[in-house]
Amino acid sequence: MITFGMIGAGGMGCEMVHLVPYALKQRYPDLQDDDYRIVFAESEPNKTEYDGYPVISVEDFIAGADENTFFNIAIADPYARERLAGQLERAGLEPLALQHPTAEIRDGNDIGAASVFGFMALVTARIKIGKYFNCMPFSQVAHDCEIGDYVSFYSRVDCNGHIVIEDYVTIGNGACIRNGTREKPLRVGKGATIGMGAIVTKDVPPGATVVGNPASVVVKD
Amino acid sequence: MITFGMVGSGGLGREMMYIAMPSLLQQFPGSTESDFRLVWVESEPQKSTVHDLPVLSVDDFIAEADDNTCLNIGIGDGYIRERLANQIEAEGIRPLQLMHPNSELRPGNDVGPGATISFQCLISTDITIGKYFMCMAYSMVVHDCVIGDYVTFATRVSCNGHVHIEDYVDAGNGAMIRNGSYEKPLRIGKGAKIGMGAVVAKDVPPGAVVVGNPAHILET
Repeated sequence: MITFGMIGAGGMGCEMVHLVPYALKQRYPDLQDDDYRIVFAESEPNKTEYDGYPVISVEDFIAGADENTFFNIAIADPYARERLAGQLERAGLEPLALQHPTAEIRDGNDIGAASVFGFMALVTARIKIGKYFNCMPFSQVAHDCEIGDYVSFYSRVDCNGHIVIEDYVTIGNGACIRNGTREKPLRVGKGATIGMGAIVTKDVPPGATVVGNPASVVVKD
Repeated sequence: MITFGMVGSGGLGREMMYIAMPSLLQQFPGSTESDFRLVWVESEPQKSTVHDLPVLSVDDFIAEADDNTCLNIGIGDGYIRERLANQIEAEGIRPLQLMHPNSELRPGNDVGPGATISFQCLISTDITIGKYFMCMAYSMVVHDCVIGDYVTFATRVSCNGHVHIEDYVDAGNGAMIRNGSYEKPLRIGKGAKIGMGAVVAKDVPPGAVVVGNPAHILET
């Protein structure tokens, strides 16, 4: 029996859990529907069932794991994703990348472990992406981009060519990032947050939050 | 012979008619294209054919209808859509859901009659949608949303999680609606209009028109 644990029983989890059968059937072409089970796991479960699947604690999920146990993490906060990934990987569990069949991830790109690509996502050419990249429906990454670890794209993000996105960056629904050049890539600094619908035309400093068209840094009080 | 009437032969109706045949073939298993007759229906027909298909008046469409007649409505105004739907359905003609084959409507969602789901749309999970929802190309509705009756999405609308949209709301091309939460869904009030490209970050009152990034109420 194969067990897949989706870490995080929230909205993102019920969106992502739909991708699990595709990933398992790609890995095990002869897999039948009763050869696997799906559970949600939470650090502190406050329900026993979610979206038709059981919810267990992360500790119980790890305790019951064997070599046929896989997971991915449906938690938007990149730092929480890193912490949970470390906990599960140290316990010997293997993350499973998830990809909707309509997503197009072209060959020749270098994509790290545990990535998630939703409906109609597109990754074109000469692209390097780190661990636990989360790329929600209709988002695209174009040529010559370099994306760090634990980066999240919400739906319909346009990441144009020659852009460097450092670790822990979160990009909101419908944000567009202008292309850089080979000599001078546009750079989004570590831990930055780009707001929904923002039009980013220049570098974003590490840790900054930018919003609007053109995007400007939100000054925190 | 099954007759499908597209009410409205304007731009929207002509966009939607393209999805009628694949939808009919899917919803009547074992059928072929020759089993179906496609017609336009107009309150006041201006021409006798559009795209080589006949244009009937609403009265004639109703008069010649039988048990095998169905309709959808290619009119963007939700209130007009409701009036025509009530008039025609009162005669026993039932709505046909139009669904482009490359859209994804996941099982388990509750979508009302007369919905149109156009090219490459995504209706993901745990969603309730009312009657005659119009969802044009590339639009998406994600987890835990509740959408009322006669709601209209133009192309590329993003409706994020835990958003409640009341009846007759109209969202323009590329509008984005921020997610709410389980405890406090983001709410778009009855009959509100969301402008093209608007970035809606908070509740919209009933009847309001909002535009811009972040979206604000347009005073008229």
